[in-house]
Amino acid sequence: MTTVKPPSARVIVDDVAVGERVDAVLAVADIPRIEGKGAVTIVSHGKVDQAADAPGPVLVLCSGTGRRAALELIASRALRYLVPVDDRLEDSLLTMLGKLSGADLFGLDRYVRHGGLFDTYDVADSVAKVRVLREIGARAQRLGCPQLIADLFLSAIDEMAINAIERHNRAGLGPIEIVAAAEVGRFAVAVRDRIGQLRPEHVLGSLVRGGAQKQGGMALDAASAQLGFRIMFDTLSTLAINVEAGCRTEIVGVIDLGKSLREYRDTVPGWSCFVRE
Amino acid sequence: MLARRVERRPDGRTTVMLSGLIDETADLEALVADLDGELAFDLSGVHRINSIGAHRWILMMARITASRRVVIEAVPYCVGMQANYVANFFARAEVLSCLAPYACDTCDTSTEMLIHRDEVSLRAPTRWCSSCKREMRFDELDGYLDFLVRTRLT
Repeated sequence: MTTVKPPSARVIVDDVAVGERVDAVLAVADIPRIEGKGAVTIVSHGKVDQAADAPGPVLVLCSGTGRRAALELIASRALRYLVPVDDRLEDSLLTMLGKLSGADLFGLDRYVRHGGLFDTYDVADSVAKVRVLREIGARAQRLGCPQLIADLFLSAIDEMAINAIERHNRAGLGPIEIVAAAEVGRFAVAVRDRIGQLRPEHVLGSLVRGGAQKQGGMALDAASAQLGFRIMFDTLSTLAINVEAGCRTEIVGVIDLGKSLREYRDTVPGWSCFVRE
Repeated sequence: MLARRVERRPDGRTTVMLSGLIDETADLEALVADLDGELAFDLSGVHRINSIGAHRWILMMARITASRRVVIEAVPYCVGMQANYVANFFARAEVLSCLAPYACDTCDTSTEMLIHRDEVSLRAPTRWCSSCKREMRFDELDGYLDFLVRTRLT
Protein backbone atom coordinates (compact mmCIF):
# COMPACT_ATOMS: atom_id res chain seq x y z
CA MET A 1 0.00 0.00 0.00
CA THR A 2 1.21 3.50 -0.80
CA THR A 3 2.39 5.44 2.22
CA VAL A 4 1.28 9.06 2.43
CA LYS A 5 3.15 10.83 5.19
CA PRO A 6 1.24 13.61 7.00
CA PRO A 7 3.13 16.74 6.01
CA SER A 8 3.01 18.25 9.48
CA ALA A 9 1.70 17.99 13.00
CA ARG A 10 0.48 20.68 15.34
CA VAL A 11 1.19 19.82 18.97
CA ILE A 12 -0.74 21.36 21.86
CA VAL A 13 0.36 19.88 25.16
CA ASP A 14 0.24 21.09 28.75
CA ASP A 15 3.27 19.18 29.99
CA VAL A 16 6.82 19.84 28.83
CA ALA A 17 7.94 16.25 29.37
CA VAL A 18 5.06 14.92 27.31
CA GLY A 19 5.85 17.47 24.62
CA GLU A 20 9.43 16.22 24.46
CA ARG A 21 8.26 12.65 24.11
CA VAL A 22 5.92 13.67 21.30
CA ASP A 23 8.75 15.57 19.59
CA ALA A 24 10.94 12.48 19.74
CA VAL A 25 8.23 10.40 18.06
CA LEU A 26 7.67 13.02 15.37
CA ALA A 27 11.41 13.03 14.68
CA VAL A 28 11.43 9.24 14.27
CA ALA A 29 8.38 9.44 12.01
CA ASP A 30 9.96 12.29 10.05
CA ILE A 31 6.95 14.54 10.58
CA PRO A 32 7.69 18.25 11.16
CA ARG A 33 6.06 20.01 14.11
CA ILE A 34 4.49 23.31 13.15
CA GLU A 35 2.67 26.04 15.06
CA GLY A 36 -0.15 26.66 12.58
CA LYS A 37 -2.80 24.21 11.48
CA GLY A 38 -1.19 20.87 10.77
CA ALA A 39 -2.41 17.86 8.89
CA VAL A 40 -2.64 16.14 12.26
CA THR A 41 -3.26 17.78 15.63
CA ILE A 42 -1.85 16.16 18.75
CA VAL A 43 -3.43 17.66 21.85
CA SER A 44 -3.52 17.03 25.60
CA HIS A 45 -6.97 16.18 26.90
CA GLY A 46 -7.02 19.35 29.01
CA LYS A 47 -6.54 21.50 25.90
CA VAL A 48 -8.83 19.66 23.56
CA ASP A 49 -10.95 22.79 23.04
CA GLN A 50 -7.99 24.39 21.29
CA ALA A 51 -8.23 21.72 18.60
CA ALA A 52 -11.86 22.42 17.84
CA ASP A 53 -11.03 24.07 14.52
CA ALA A 54 -8.44 21.50 13.46
CA PRO A 55 -8.83 20.67 9.78
CA GLY A 56 -7.63 17.07 10.04
CA PRO A 57 -7.52 14.20 12.52
CA VAL A 58 -7.22 15.11 16.21
CA LEU A 59 -5.20 12.76 18.34
CA VAL A 60 -5.85 13.28 22.04
CA LEU A 61 -3.24 12.46 24.69
CA CYS A 62 -4.92 11.48 27.93
CA SER A 63 -3.34 11.10 31.33
CA GLY A 64 -4.34 10.78 34.94
CA THR A 65 -8.09 10.99 34.50
CA GLY A 66 -9.08 7.38 35.05
CA ARG A 67 -11.00 5.20 32.66
CA ARG A 68 -14.45 6.57 33.35
CA ALA A 69 -13.48 10.18 32.67
CA ALA A 70 -11.58 9.13 29.55
CA LEU A 71 -14.64 7.33 28.21
CA GLU A 72 -16.80 10.36 28.93
CA LEU A 73 -14.31 12.50 27.01
CA ILE A 74 -14.41 10.11 24.04
CA ALA A 75 -18.21 10.12 24.08
CA SER A 76 -18.71 13.85 24.54
CA ARG A 77 -16.23 14.79 21.79
CA ALA A 78 -16.85 11.79 19.55
CA LEU A 79 -13.10 11.22 19.59
CA ARG A 80 -11.67 8.70 17.18
CA TYR A 81 -8.09 8.69 18.43
CA LEU A 82 -7.07 8.63 22.09
CA VAL A 83 -3.60 7.74 23.33
CA PRO A 84 -2.91 7.21 27.04
CA VAL A 85 0.16 8.97 28.38
CA ASP A 86 1.91 5.98 29.88
CA ASP A 87 5.17 4.12 29.41
CA ARG A 88 4.00 2.95 25.98
CA LEU A 89 3.21 6.43 24.67
CA GLU A 90 5.91 6.35 21.99
CA ASP A 91 4.81 2.99 20.58
CA SER A 92 1.13 3.97 20.62
CA LEU A 93 1.80 7.33 18.99
CA LEU A 94 3.96 5.78 16.27
CA THR A 95 1.23 3.25 15.53
CA MET A 96 -1.42 5.96 15.27
CA LEU A 97 0.72 8.26 13.13
CA GLY A 98 1.64 5.35 10.88
CA LYS A 99 -2.01 4.59 10.25
CA LEU A 100 -2.87 8.25 9.75
CA SER A 101 0.01 8.42 7.27
CA GLY A 102 -1.70 5.97 4.98
CA ALA A 103 0.13 2.83 5.97
CA ASP A 104 -1.79 -0.43 6.10
CA LEU A 105 -4.34 -0.23 8.90
CA PHE A 106 -4.47 -3.94 9.55
CA GLY A 107 -2.27 -6.28 11.52
CA LEU A 108 -1.77 -7.33 15.09
CA ASP A 109 1.98 -6.83 14.72
CA ARG A 110 1.38 -3.11 15.23
CA TYR A 111 0.41 -3.89 18.82
CA VAL A 112 2.75 -6.79 19.49
CA ARG A 113 5.97 -5.49 18.04
CA HIS A 114 8.62 -7.50 19.78
CA GLY A 115 8.26 -11.01 18.46
CA GLY A 116 5.90 -13.45 20.03
CA LEU A 117 3.90 -16.38 18.75
CA PHE A 118 0.80 -15.60 16.69
CA ASP A 119 -2.02 -18.15 17.05
CA THR A 120 -4.64 -17.99 14.30
CA TYR A 121 -8.07 -19.59 14.60
CA ASP A 122 -10.97 -19.94 12.18
CA VAL A 123 -14.24 -19.55 14.09
CA ALA A 124 -17.51 -20.44 12.39
CA ASP A 125 -19.96 -20.72 15.27
CA SER A 126 -20.57 -20.40 19.00
CA VAL A 127 -19.11 -23.81 19.78
CA ALA A 128 -15.86 -22.95 18.05
CA LYS A 129 -15.84 -19.53 19.75
CA VAL A 130 -16.09 -21.11 23.19
CA ARG A 131 -13.25 -23.53 22.39
CA VAL A 132 -11.00 -20.73 21.12
CA LEU A 133 -11.78 -18.52 24.11
CA ARG A 134 -10.82 -21.41 26.37
CA GLU A 135 -7.46 -21.70 24.59
CA ILE A 136 -6.86 -17.95 24.77
CA GLY A 137 -7.79 -17.99 28.46
CA ALA A 138 -5.28 -20.77 29.10
CA ARG A 139 -2.61 -18.75 27.32
CA ALA A 140 -3.47 -15.68 29.40
CA GLN A 141 -2.96 -17.76 32.53
CA ARG A 142 0.40 -19.02 31.28
CA LEU A 143 1.38 -15.37 30.75
CA GLY A 144 0.64 -14.69 34.41
CA CYS A 145 -2.55 -12.75 33.84
CA PRO A 146 -4.72 -12.68 36.99
CA GLN A 147 -7.86 -14.78 36.59
CA LEU A 148 -10.39 -11.95 36.81
CA ILE A 149 -8.51 -9.79 34.31
CA ALA A 150 -8.28 -12.80 31.98
CA ASP A 151 -12.04 -13.24 32.40
CA LEU A 152 -12.59 -9.59 31.46
CA PHE A 153 -10.41 -10.06 28.40
CA LEU A 154 -12.37 -13.13 27.35
CA SER A 155 -15.63 -11.20 27.78
CA ALA A 156 -14.31 -8.50 25.47
CA ILE A 157 -13.15 -11.04 22.86
CA ASP A 158 -16.53 -12.75 23.05
CA GLU A 159 -18.16 -9.41 22.19
CA MET A 160 -15.62 -8.73 19.45
CA ALA A 161 -16.43 -12.07 17.85
CA ILE A 162 -20.13 -12.57 18.39
CA ASN A 163 -21.51 -10.06 15.89
CA ALA A 164 -18.84 -10.89 13.32
CA ILE A 165 -19.83 -14.57 13.44
CA GLU A 166 -23.48 -13.70 13.08
CA ARG A 167 -22.87 -11.38 10.13
CA HIS A 168 -20.64 -13.92 8.41
CA ASN A 169 -23.20 -16.67 8.85
CA ARG A 170 -25.98 -14.44 7.52
CA ALA A 171 -23.91 -13.61 4.44
CA GLY A 172 -22.68 -17.19 3.96
CA LEU A 173 -19.07 -16.10 4.30
CA GLY A 174 -17.80 -18.98 6.42
CA PRO A 175 -15.63 -18.56 9.50
CA ILE A 176 -14.20 -15.36 10.89
CA GLU A 177 -10.58 -15.18 11.97
CA ILE A 178 -9.25 -14.67 15.48
CA VAL A 179 -5.54 -14.03 16.04
CA ALA A 180 -3.84 -13.96 19.44
CA ALA A 181 -0.32 -12.77 20.17
CA ALA A 182 1.68 -11.78 23.23
CA GLU A 183 4.85 -9.98 24.18
CA VAL A 184 6.31 -9.05 27.52
CA GLY A 185 3.65 -7.20 29.49
CA ARG A 186 0.80 -7.39 27.01
CA PHE A 187 -1.57 -9.79 25.30
CA ALA A 188 -3.46 -8.87 22.15
CA VAL A 189 -6.25 -10.41 20.11
CA ALA A 190 -7.64 -9.41 16.72
CA VAL A 191 -11.03 -10.46 15.38
CA ARG A 192 -11.41 -10.13 11.60
CA ASP A 193 -14.43 -10.29 9.37
CA ARG A 194 -14.74 -9.88 5.59
CA ILE A 195 -17.64 -7.45 5.65
CA GLY A 196 -16.40 -4.02 6.67
CA GLN A 197 -19.68 -2.54 7.91
CA LEU A 198 -18.65 -1.08 11.25
CA ARG A 199 -18.49 2.69 11.62
CA PRO A 200 -17.31 4.92 14.48
CA GLU A 201 -20.81 6.15 15.27
CA HIS A 202 -21.95 2.59 16.02
CA VAL A 203 -19.18 2.23 18.54
CA LEU A 204 -19.37 5.67 20.09
CA GLY A 205 -23.12 5.28 20.52
CA SER A 206 -22.41 2.63 23.13
CA LEU A 207 -20.61 5.19 25.27
CA VAL A 208 -23.39 7.73 24.96
CA ARG A 209 -25.96 5.16 26.00
CA GLY A 210 -23.54 3.85 28.59
CA GLY A 211 -23.57 7.31 30.11
CA ALA A 212 -26.98 6.38 31.41
CA GLN A 213 -25.07 4.11 33.77
CA LYS A 214 -25.08 6.88 36.34
CA GLN A 215 -28.86 6.86 36.25
CA GLY A 216 -29.00 3.12 36.80
CA GLY A 217 -27.79 1.64 33.53
CA MET A 218 -28.73 1.35 29.89
CA ALA A 219 -32.35 0.94 28.99
CA LEU A 220 -33.78 -2.53 28.64
CA ASP A 221 -34.06 -2.12 24.89
CA ALA A 222 -30.41 -1.20 24.37
CA ALA A 223 -29.09 -3.27 21.49
CA SER A 224 -26.76 -6.11 22.36
CA ALA A 225 -24.08 -4.59 20.15
CA GLN A 226 -24.19 -1.36 22.18
CA LEU A 227 -23.70 -3.32 25.35
CA GLY A 228 -20.95 -5.30 23.67
CA PHE A 229 -18.95 -2.20 22.76
CA ARG A 230 -19.45 -0.80 26.23
CA ILE A 231 -17.94 -3.99 27.64
CA MET A 232 -14.95 -3.67 25.29
CA PHE A 233 -14.33 -0.06 26.31
CA ASP A 234 -14.56 -0.96 29.98
CA THR A 235 -12.39 -4.05 29.93
CA LEU A 236 -9.54 -3.50 27.45
CA SER A 237 -6.28 -1.57 27.74
CA THR A 238 -6.51 -0.75 24.04
CA LEU A 239 -9.41 -1.00 21.63
CA ALA A 240 -8.58 -0.39 17.97
CA ILE A 241 -10.98 -0.76 15.09
CA ASN A 242 -9.82 -0.85 11.51
CA VAL A 243 -12.30 -0.89 8.67
CA GLU A 244 -11.87 -1.13 4.94
CA ALA A 245 -15.39 -0.17 3.96
CA GLY A 246 -17.32 -2.99 2.38
CA CYS A 247 -14.35 -5.36 2.54
CA ARG A 248 -13.12 -6.16 6.02
CA THR A 249 -13.07 -5.21 9.68
CA GLU A 250 -10.43 -5.85 12.29
CA ILE A 251 -11.15 -5.26 15.97
CA VAL A 252 -8.04 -5.35 18.11
CA GLY A 253 -8.20 -5.74 21.88
CA VAL A 254 -5.12 -5.50 24.07
CA ILE A 255 -4.62 -6.06 27.78
CA ASP A 256 -1.60 -4.84 29.70
CA LEU A 257 -0.41 -7.41 32.18
CA GLY A 258 1.09 -6.80 35.59
CA LYS A 259 -1.59 -4.57 37.11
CA SER A 260 -4.02 -5.23 39.91
CA LEU A 261 -7.65 -5.51 38.87
CA ARG A 262 -8.46 -2.12 40.34
CA GLU A 263 -5.52 -0.42 38.59
CA TYR A 264 -6.43 -2.17 35.39
CA ARG A 265 -10.05 -1.08 35.57
CA ASP A 266 -9.06 2.51 36.24
CA THR A 267 -6.49 2.79 33.46
CA VAL A 268 -7.08 5.19 30.59
CA PRO A 269 -7.63 3.00 27.52
CA GLY A 270 -6.12 3.52 24.12
CA TRP A 271 -8.77 3.96 21.47
CA SER A 272 -8.80 4.39 17.73
CA CYS A 273 -11.17 3.87 14.85
CA PHE A 274 -9.84 4.05 11.31
CA VAL A 275 -12.16 3.74 8.35
CA ARG A 276 -10.79 3.64 4.84
CA GLU A 277 -13.49 4.17 2.22
CA MET B 1 -22.94 -24.18 27.79
CA LEU B 2 -25.23 -23.30 30.69
CA ALA B 3 -26.25 -25.98 33.16
CA ARG B 4 -28.63 -25.95 36.10
CA ARG B 5 -29.11 -27.90 39.28
CA VAL B 6 -32.40 -27.59 41.13
CA GLU B 7 -32.97 -28.09 44.86
CA ARG B 8 -36.41 -27.95 46.42
CA ARG B 9 -36.39 -26.79 50.01
CA PRO B 10 -38.88 -27.85 52.69
CA ASP B 11 -40.13 -24.25 52.92
CA GLY B 12 -41.34 -24.47 49.33
CA ARG B 13 -38.63 -22.32 47.82
CA THR B 14 -36.81 -23.73 44.83
CA THR B 15 -33.12 -22.96 44.41
CA VAL B 16 -31.70 -22.97 40.89
CA MET B 17 -27.93 -23.19 40.69
CA LEU B 18 -26.66 -22.03 37.31
CA SER B 19 -23.19 -22.82 36.05
CA GLY B 20 -21.26 -22.16 32.86
CA LEU B 21 -21.86 -19.53 30.18
CA ILE B 22 -24.88 -17.32 29.67
CA ASP B 23 -24.49 -16.59 25.99
CA GLU B 24 -26.30 -16.92 22.67
CA THR B 25 -26.66 -20.68 23.18
CA ALA B 26 -28.34 -20.42 26.57
CA ASP B 27 -32.06 -21.22 26.56
CA LEU B 28 -32.93 -19.45 29.79
CA GLU B 29 -36.69 -19.74 29.33
CA ALA B 30 -36.40 -23.52 29.11
CA LEU B 31 -34.29 -23.56 32.26
CA VAL B 32 -37.11 -22.15 34.34
CA ALA B 33 -40.16 -23.36 32.40
CA ASP B 34 -40.87 -26.30 34.72
CA LEU B 35 -40.37 -24.36 37.96
CA ASP B 36 -43.10 -22.67 39.95
CA GLY B 37 -43.40 -20.89 43.26
CA GLU B 38 -40.74 -18.81 44.93
CA LEU B 39 -37.34 -19.07 43.25
CA ALA B 40 -33.78 -18.46 44.37
CA PHE B 41 -31.01 -18.28 41.79
CA ASP B 42 -27.46 -19.10 42.89
CA LEU B 43 -25.21 -17.64 40.19
CA SER B 44 -21.83 -18.49 41.72
CA GLY B 45 -21.11 -21.05 38.99
CA VAL B 46 -21.61 -18.62 36.10
CA HIS B 47 -18.22 -17.72 34.69
CA ARG B 48 -19.14 -15.55 31.72
CA ILE B 49 -22.15 -13.71 30.35
CA ASN B 50 -22.12 -11.92 27.02
CA SER B 51 -24.39 -9.20 25.68
CA ILE B 52 -26.81 -11.58 23.97
CA GLY B 53 -26.98 -13.69 27.12
CA ALA B 54 -27.60 -10.54 29.13
CA HIS B 55 -30.54 -9.62 26.92
CA ARG B 56 -32.06 -13.06 27.34
CA TRP B 57 -31.47 -12.88 31.07
CA ILE B 58 -33.22 -9.51 31.34
CA LEU B 59 -36.25 -10.71 29.41
CA MET B 60 -36.48 -13.88 31.49
CA MET B 61 -36.12 -11.97 34.76
CA ALA B 62 -38.76 -9.42 33.75
CA ARG B 63 -41.22 -12.21 33.04
CA ILE B 64 -40.65 -14.43 36.05
CA THR B 65 -40.41 -11.65 38.63
CA ALA B 66 -43.75 -10.19 37.52
CA SER B 67 -45.72 -12.93 39.21
CA ARG B 68 -43.63 -14.29 42.06
CA ARG B 69 -40.87 -13.59 44.52
CA VAL B 70 -37.38 -14.22 43.14
CA VAL B 71 -34.12 -13.80 44.99
CA ILE B 72 -30.60 -13.81 43.57
CA GLU B 73 -27.59 -15.05 45.50
CA ALA B 74 -23.81 -15.02 44.94
CA VAL B 75 -23.72 -12.82 41.85
CA PRO B 76 -20.26 -13.44 40.37
CA TYR B 77 -17.96 -10.68 39.17
CA CYS B 78 -18.73 -11.19 35.48
CA VAL B 79 -22.48 -10.81 36.09
CA GLY B 80 -22.02 -7.89 38.48
CA MET B 81 -20.22 -5.98 35.72
CA GLN B 82 -23.18 -6.44 33.39
CA ALA B 83 -25.66 -5.58 36.12
CA ASN B 84 -23.96 -2.21 36.47
CA TYR B 85 -24.35 -1.51 32.75
CA VAL B 86 -28.00 -2.34 32.33
CA ALA B 87 -30.94 -0.85 34.16
CA ASN B 88 -33.35 -3.39 35.56
CA PHE B 89 -30.92 -6.24 35.06
CA PHE B 90 -32.57 -8.19 37.87
CA ALA B 91 -36.07 -6.77 37.28
CA ARG B 92 -38.05 -7.07 40.55
CA ALA B 93 -35.80 -9.74 42.03
CA GLU B 94 -34.05 -9.14 45.33
CA VAL B 95 -30.28 -9.47 45.11
CA LEU B 96 -29.07 -10.82 48.43
CA SER B 97 -25.35 -11.27 47.85
CA CYS B 98 -22.49 -11.11 45.39
CA LEU B 99 -18.93 -12.28 44.92
CA ALA B 100 -16.57 -9.32 44.86
CA PRO B 101 -12.86 -9.15 44.06
CA TYR B 102 -10.41 -8.69 46.93
CA ALA B 103 -6.61 -8.86 46.96
CA CYS B 104 -4.07 -9.57 49.66
CA ASP B 105 -0.94 -7.51 49.03
CA THR B 106 1.02 -9.50 51.61
CA CYS B 107 0.35 -12.89 50.04
CA ASP B 108 0.05 -11.47 46.51
CA THR B 109 -3.20 -13.30 45.94
CA SER B 110 -6.62 -12.29 44.72
CA THR B 111 -9.95 -13.93 45.24
CA GLU B 112 -13.69 -13.36 45.10
CA MET B 113 -15.34 -12.96 48.51
CA LEU B 114 -19.02 -13.28 49.32
CA ILE B 115 -20.67 -9.98 50.30
CA HIS B 116 -24.21 -9.68 51.64
CA ARG B 117 -26.13 -6.60 50.59
CA ASP B 118 -26.71 -5.51 54.17
CA GLU B 119 -22.94 -5.18 54.66
CA VAL B 120 -22.59 -2.58 51.93
CA SER B 121 -22.79 1.07 52.85
CA LEU B 122 -20.68 3.74 51.16
CA ARG B 123 -17.75 1.41 50.76
CA ALA B 124 -17.04 -2.26 50.37
CA PRO B 125 -16.99 -4.27 53.61
CA THR B 126 -13.73 -5.39 55.15
CA ARG B 127 -12.41 -8.86 54.44
CA TRP B 128 -9.40 -10.68 55.86
CA CYS B 129 -6.94 -12.95 54.13
CA SER B 130 -7.44 -16.60 55.08
CA SER B 131 -3.66 -17.16 55.00
CA CYS B 132 -1.99 -14.18 56.67
CA LYS B 133 -5.13 -12.87 58.46
CA ARG B 134 -4.40 -9.31 57.34
CA GLU B 135 -7.01 -7.00 55.91
CA MET B 136 -7.54 -7.43 52.19
CA ARG B 137 -7.89 -4.65 49.65
CA PHE B 138 -11.14 -4.27 47.70
CA ASP B 139 -9.88 -4.77 44.17
CA GLU B 140 -12.44 -2.90 42.10
CA LEU B 141 -13.59 0.64 41.53
CA ASP B 142 -15.81 2.19 44.18
CA GLY B 143 -18.92 1.98 42.01
CA TYR B 144 -18.73 -1.74 41.45
CA LEU B 145 -21.21 -2.61 44.18
CA ASP B 146 -23.78 -0.13 42.87
CA PHE B 147 -25.94 -2.93 41.48
CA LEU B 148 -26.21 -4.45 44.93
CA VAL B 149 -27.16 -1.15 46.56
CA ARG B 150 -29.53 -0.28 43.72
CA THR B 151 -31.54 -3.46 44.07
CA ARG B 152 -31.74 -2.93 47.82
CA LEU B 153 -33.33 0.45 47.26
CA THR B 154 -35.92 -0.70 44.73
